Amino acid sequence: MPAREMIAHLSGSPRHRPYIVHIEALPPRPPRYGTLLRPLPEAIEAYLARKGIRLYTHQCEAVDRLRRNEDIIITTSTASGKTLAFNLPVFERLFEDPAATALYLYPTKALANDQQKAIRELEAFTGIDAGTAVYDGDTPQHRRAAIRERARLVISNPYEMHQILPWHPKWGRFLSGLSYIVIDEAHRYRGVFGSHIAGMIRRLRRICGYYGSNPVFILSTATIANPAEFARRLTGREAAWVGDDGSPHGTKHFVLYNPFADRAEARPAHLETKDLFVACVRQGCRTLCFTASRRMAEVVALGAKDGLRAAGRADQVAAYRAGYLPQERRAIEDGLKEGPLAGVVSTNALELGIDIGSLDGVIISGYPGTMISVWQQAGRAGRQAAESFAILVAFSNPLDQYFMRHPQAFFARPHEHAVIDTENPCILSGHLLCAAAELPLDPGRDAAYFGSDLLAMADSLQAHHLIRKSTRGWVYAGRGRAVDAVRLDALSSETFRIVCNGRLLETMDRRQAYREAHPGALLLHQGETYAVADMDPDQRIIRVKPTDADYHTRPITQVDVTVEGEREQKEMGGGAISLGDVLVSERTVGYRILKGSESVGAEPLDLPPILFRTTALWFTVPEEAECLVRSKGLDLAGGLHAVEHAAIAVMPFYVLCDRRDIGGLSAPCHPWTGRPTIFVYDGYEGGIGLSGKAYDLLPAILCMTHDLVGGCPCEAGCPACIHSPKCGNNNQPLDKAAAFILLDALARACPHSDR
Amino acid sequence: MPGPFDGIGRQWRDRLDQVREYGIVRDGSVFRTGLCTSFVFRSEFERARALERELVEAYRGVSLEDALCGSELDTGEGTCYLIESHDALEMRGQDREAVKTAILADLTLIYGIGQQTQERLKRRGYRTIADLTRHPRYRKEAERLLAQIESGDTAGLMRWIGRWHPASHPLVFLTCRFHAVEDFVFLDIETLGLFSRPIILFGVARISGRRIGVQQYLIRDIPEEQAALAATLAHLEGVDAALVTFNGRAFDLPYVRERLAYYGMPSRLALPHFDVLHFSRRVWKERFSDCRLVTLERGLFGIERSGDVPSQMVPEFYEAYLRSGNPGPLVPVVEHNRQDVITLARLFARLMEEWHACP
Repeated sequence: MPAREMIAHLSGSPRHRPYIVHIEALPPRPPRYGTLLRPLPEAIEAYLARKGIRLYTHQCEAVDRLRRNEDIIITTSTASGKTLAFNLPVFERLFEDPAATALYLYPTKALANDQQKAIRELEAFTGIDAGTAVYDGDTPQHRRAAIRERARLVISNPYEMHQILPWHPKWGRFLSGLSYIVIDEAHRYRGVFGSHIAGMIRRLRRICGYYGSNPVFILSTATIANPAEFARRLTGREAAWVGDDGSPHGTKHFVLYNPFADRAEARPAHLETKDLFVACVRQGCRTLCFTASRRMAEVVALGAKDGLRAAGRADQVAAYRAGYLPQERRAIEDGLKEGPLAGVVSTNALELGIDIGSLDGVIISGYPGTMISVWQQAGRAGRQAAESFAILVAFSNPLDQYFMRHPQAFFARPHEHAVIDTENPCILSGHLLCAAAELPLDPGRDAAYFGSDLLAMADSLQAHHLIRKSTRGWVYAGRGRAVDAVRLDALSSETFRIVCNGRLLETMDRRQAYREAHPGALLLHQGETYAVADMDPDQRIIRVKPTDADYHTRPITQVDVTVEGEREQKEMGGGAISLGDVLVSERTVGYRILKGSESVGAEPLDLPPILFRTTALWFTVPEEAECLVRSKGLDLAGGLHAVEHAAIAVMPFYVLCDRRDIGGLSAPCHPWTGRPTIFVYDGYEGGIGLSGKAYDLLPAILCMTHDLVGGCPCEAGCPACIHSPKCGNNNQPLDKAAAFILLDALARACPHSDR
Repeated sequence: MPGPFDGIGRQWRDRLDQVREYGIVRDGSVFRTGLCTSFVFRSEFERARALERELVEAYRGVSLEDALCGSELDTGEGTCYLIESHDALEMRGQDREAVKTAILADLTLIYGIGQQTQERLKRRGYRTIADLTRHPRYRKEAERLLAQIESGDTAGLMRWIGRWHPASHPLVFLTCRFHAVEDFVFLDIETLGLFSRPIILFGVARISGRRIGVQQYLIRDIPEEQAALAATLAHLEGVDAALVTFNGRAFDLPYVRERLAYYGMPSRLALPHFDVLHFSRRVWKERFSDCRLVTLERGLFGIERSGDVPSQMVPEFYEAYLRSGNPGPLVPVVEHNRQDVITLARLFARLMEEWHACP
């Protein structure tokens, strides 16, 4: 059934109609074709002709600019042919210059493999021999030398590059010829993670310079608010923005769907998601359903199988998520593209550009946290001029509900800025250490890559004997490999293996294992339920058994912040701000047993906590404000929680980071201060300098927070003020009135306040 | 005076100081040793830490030049510190004819000849490869091998034999007898870690008559590494030089290459290379529990080291010196390296005895 009819079907159905709060028809756009300034080599033209491809305006612009050796950042929509836009000039160069090479970086191994298939096809058809190869952690040892010595197009990921750079002498041929570096899904590299990638790219550019090459950068991203600035910060070079999308798309019917529209008739969001998904598949729409968690993906897929069993179509749907083994994922991707699958329920793992063919519609179960993700996910539906639909199913949390009440605010909401800080000393100094281990660091030459603070930082590293100055520059002399000490992200490398009767079912990291695969937990895998029999935290093995239990489990977690040392403190009116070292502990203390959404019991657990040491700032609220909140009968905990959210929302304006990089905790009475306290901490082991910077700027941050909350016309809080898209407590409790009283006192108390 | 980024340096130092590239294993826990690629036993570790403390105490206020008798060496790449010593050592000399005879007797070195063909050919009177120059089918290849032998290119000849035999085959080893004892460069390096860190000490030994002379190029600070590399390179770039190492195929040679590339110092390093570890495994695998250098040294020469630093702990001893300027921790490192390179030469001489009459 075409998308338009599907939406008509839903809005006509008494079952679903009451929950549809808004339908926005996003208008269609006709294609605009362009012509290149000069034709491509014959073999490539023949490939395009054979495939029946005419180039869109943005593709022509990309090709023409790249031929002039200009860096570009392409931000056109999903399925607009971004990949072709850079593959064409890359292959043209490989064809014209037998020594030329190209490097493609993807954020995941799955994407790299997907891309390899597409490029090999181009290679086979055109006869241009690029020796394309994926080089990552999965590349077998015995194939590595041949790839280093022969491949002209290498596909890898940033983590692998970070490890490869110290071995650059083995890559001399490849690096000497390096003409293009493609960074796909570049919007993934923002916040602290992006700042690390920016450091790694500067090291790569420096080494290229040593081998005499000066590659052109090609960035491909989802739509973001600041493409040119983002490209400049990520690569350190100016890039032309290619954003004028020439590809066509049909009308997209965007439905806001609220299972809680009528409190009396409210239904759990996952059940409603499942019913919508079943309805779409039943009507013959190829549908992709995005869920907020791995577990939800399994639950929805399982329910959908049941719903479709009577029609004999249970096998046409599947769940998809990280943790599945690669071959399992590959089978699902292929099944959706050309095989028997009509619908897949996925976590955001399918948000990236893995080729899964054309879809009729997308269901987004719960606001995914950013508008960048909303449009990425919605963009997976609809190829060429075909109509498509997207349905956002709201959760009960205040943020989702706000969007349901204010559809215009949702559709007008801008894409987020992709923030990168190239001057964060914690990050930059780490990459200086790595660089010094790759080639002697020459301050004259290398300030061009690492900025003017290089000398001062190098002095500090030298004073601690980590680098030493030689006639050729600073030489790394620290203990351990620099690249091992500098982690690009905070992801845990500890992998737990989940085993059923000796067969490896899937893998997950420690944090996830403690939350989802603790003893007693029920685990879903491809719709089958497994009970965790035992967990060995040292050997990192979890044994599970199949079960047909009809209940499910939900972990009870507890986060604590313990102050280990206070480094600085200053007075702020009747309260105090402190900066110090803290221990964040996250413990799964037990789990609830639920039947449907009803809790039927709880069990305690004795798992070790997940601990990380980091830097935090904390501040207490003035006593009279606390009294005022209490005397008015407002909720102090809700007020503190709201201030914490709003302050964290404001922080990226002052401290260049993504809000995901910061954590927060508020307590009506924290043991360290004995007062109502708000903590803001760096979400990275060892701290990354964010809280330290915020400590210096806190008065300004609190003034802006005050203005934000005070100036927001909403009544009880909204995503523009106190709702957080990453709140671990479902944005509860929140009390906007109490928050405003607290902020009023805090902002007034700020010594630097202008008010 | 602390600069604006003082905290940064301290933070990285704290983080890096926690890095240890080896595991510490409970004494006698043989099972656990299989799990770590690099380990020391708890007692070794404790002994070494105590040794370090004693040395720091004993050498307080002593200069490096007084602690380690040597001289400053000026190379084209700056200075480093040279420590020289001598020892007695006997080694069989050059014997081109004996090697040639052994190689020529092995017809399987010719493409297309396996064990059975060899026996058949020998029965038909083709006793040596020289005889094969009369054979219609194998003539060309036999002539090429003869030319290879005459060319004096040992590295090429080793590669040729290695194509038809394992790299640890006695015949591969035997090519060393093409060389005069003076050609051998015995090399052992001490480093600040496993790759992409400086080499702090190059131990080079050369034989002259019945003596072995050890030249150790020590860097007194990291910037001297280039000079020590250049001094070592001078040995390796000699016209007839042949390199002898213990596990150098996997470690010392790639490490030296990597450091040369790091500094942009061009070199080819295509000299013949005898890795004694591989030959030792072939000969003594059955006799000893493992083929670590110290195990062979104890078993074959009855040497018990005292006051030694485990190799894995050399980086932290050197760091202790670098940070304090106290030369105490360097003393056992230099002795350890000297002992390693002499034992290496002795093992090489012993292998010549084992295989002098083969195959």
